[in-house]
Amino acid sequence: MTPVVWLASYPKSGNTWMRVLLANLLATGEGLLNINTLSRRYGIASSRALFEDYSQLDSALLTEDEVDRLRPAVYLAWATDLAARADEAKNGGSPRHSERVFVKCHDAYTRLEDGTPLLGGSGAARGAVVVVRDPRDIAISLANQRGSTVDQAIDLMLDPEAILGRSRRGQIHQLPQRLLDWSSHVSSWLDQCDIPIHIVRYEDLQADAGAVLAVTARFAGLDVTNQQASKAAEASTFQILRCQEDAHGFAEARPGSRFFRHGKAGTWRTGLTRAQAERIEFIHGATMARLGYPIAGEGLS
Amino acid sequence: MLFYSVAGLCVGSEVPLAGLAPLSEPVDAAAMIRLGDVPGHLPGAILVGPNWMISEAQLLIWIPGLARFMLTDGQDIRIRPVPGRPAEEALAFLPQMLGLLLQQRGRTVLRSSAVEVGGWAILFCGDSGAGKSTFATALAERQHRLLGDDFCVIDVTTEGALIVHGDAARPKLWADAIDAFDQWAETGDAVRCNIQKYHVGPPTSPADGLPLGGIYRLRDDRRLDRPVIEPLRGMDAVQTIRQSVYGPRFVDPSRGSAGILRSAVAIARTAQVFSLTRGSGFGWMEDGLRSVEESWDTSRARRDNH
Repeated sequence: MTPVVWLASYPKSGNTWMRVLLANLLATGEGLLNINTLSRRYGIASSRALFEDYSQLDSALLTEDEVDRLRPAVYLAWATDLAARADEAKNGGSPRHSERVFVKCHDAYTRLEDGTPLLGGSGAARGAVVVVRDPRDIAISLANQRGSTVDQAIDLMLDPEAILGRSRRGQIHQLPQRLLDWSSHVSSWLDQCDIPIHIVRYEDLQADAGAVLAVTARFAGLDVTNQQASKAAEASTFQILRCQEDAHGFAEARPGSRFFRHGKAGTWRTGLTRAQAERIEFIHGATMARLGYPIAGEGLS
Repeated sequence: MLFYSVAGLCVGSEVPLAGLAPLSEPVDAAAMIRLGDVPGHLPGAILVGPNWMISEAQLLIWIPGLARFMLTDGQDIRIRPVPGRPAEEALAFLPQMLGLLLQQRGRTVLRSSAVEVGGWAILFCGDSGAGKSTFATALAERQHRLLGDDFCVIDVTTEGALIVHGDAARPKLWADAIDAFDQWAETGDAVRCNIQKYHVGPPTSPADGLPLGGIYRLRDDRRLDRPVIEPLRGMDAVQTIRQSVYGPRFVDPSRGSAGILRSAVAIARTAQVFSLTRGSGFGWMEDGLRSVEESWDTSRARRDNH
């Protein structure tokens, strides 16, 4: 069986923090994980390198539809390779980090016209950890990441056609990813029946990262103790991540901006206007309620 | 029938090869490109990928909804556009198919652009989007002759020297790169309908082989304000070359990864290999060009001393 577990989330929902926690949990050496070693060549589902290495095609010459038609087969081929390698590692007694491959994913869970899951379905991944966050907090964080206004970030979160990583006049390292609007993105993962999911709320991570990490790791089939998870959480605090970013920068941050900012839940209470919060609640209220996020704007500034 | 010289290989083609200048006279072609029937399956395939199959003598590769390509014995490329789709769209992939055909002939092909500097071939490798074409084009603006854009073939002579043959293709640049360098006014056709990547500059003349002077592996790091060049030695150099091999999954299965490793070791023993890490955007370009030229001066002095 494939060792791939998708770490699926809408952008700015805590995916990177989850990756740091898991990386610290799986680290075999001593000391703190360097955040700039987090990015791997195939570390995100939309990796252009992954697509090109397996399809052996120059993706710059392909249309978005042509890329999408090939993506499921690419993930299935990669999963087959990883499964074979994991079996070899198991037989050779390699350390446990070869047991699971956690892969970041910002794509919504969509299907091609013929019904094929874009991400390859159950043959490509054994499950997904779906990281979610209060969309009102996402709006503030997203605006910072994109260098946009909060209203523009909210517009993006309301756009059912939203695509991440599309660049028509140049090329970036990632393939275009269909985001949909925030509610549809979350629902696409929660409602699919191809692979098992485990939902992680950003706010719960903040409350007790060690406990959430332990449960998440067990969902992925890793045999970890509460003590190991707590130790990994202690090595992954926002303060540590901020210090590392201050000292060495973070390769995934937009140039000139900070990636690890406040790391707090509820910043929307002071960071959004009443109108902005109500706009998000009006559109996304049903999904927020589904995830346990209170609406009705209590505590607004 | 049109005739081309691609990395030292004479090719006859029923269709025009975008970005390449046809030869003025017919030649004895060692390989042919034709439109024709291509099966949807390759009997006797020994390796199967997401959109390709490979046997001892053939490679079948397909792009869903666009075209199928069959490469046979390093001598024949056949293209079958999907019915209803214009053949021109499939032709955009021919330069890549030529690189794979050369690979099928047992040649060592690197995914790289290349320029001539003082009689030496300097190669720029890297992932898609790393800046290979942009960098080579900028160097061409500084009077260094362009040798290739998509790939280079490296041959080992009986004396052990490494000789580079570029593909002689015109560089292909994205619209944002063209905007960043207003001197590139001579923008040609788009590589494909609705894709804002264009051929730039005049057609390049096929050149005789040149000795390999150096290989730069381009990569980016958003944190950097200025580009950083570092020499790579030993296994780092070998690994860099291995990662730059064209169509690595299609390398003669009988040679496999061991064959790639042998080629990489042979190249790394002779050539100087560098990593060139740059920031994002194009602000790094001027510093990058200067740093690369300075590194050549150092390399040349070292070679002269030897």
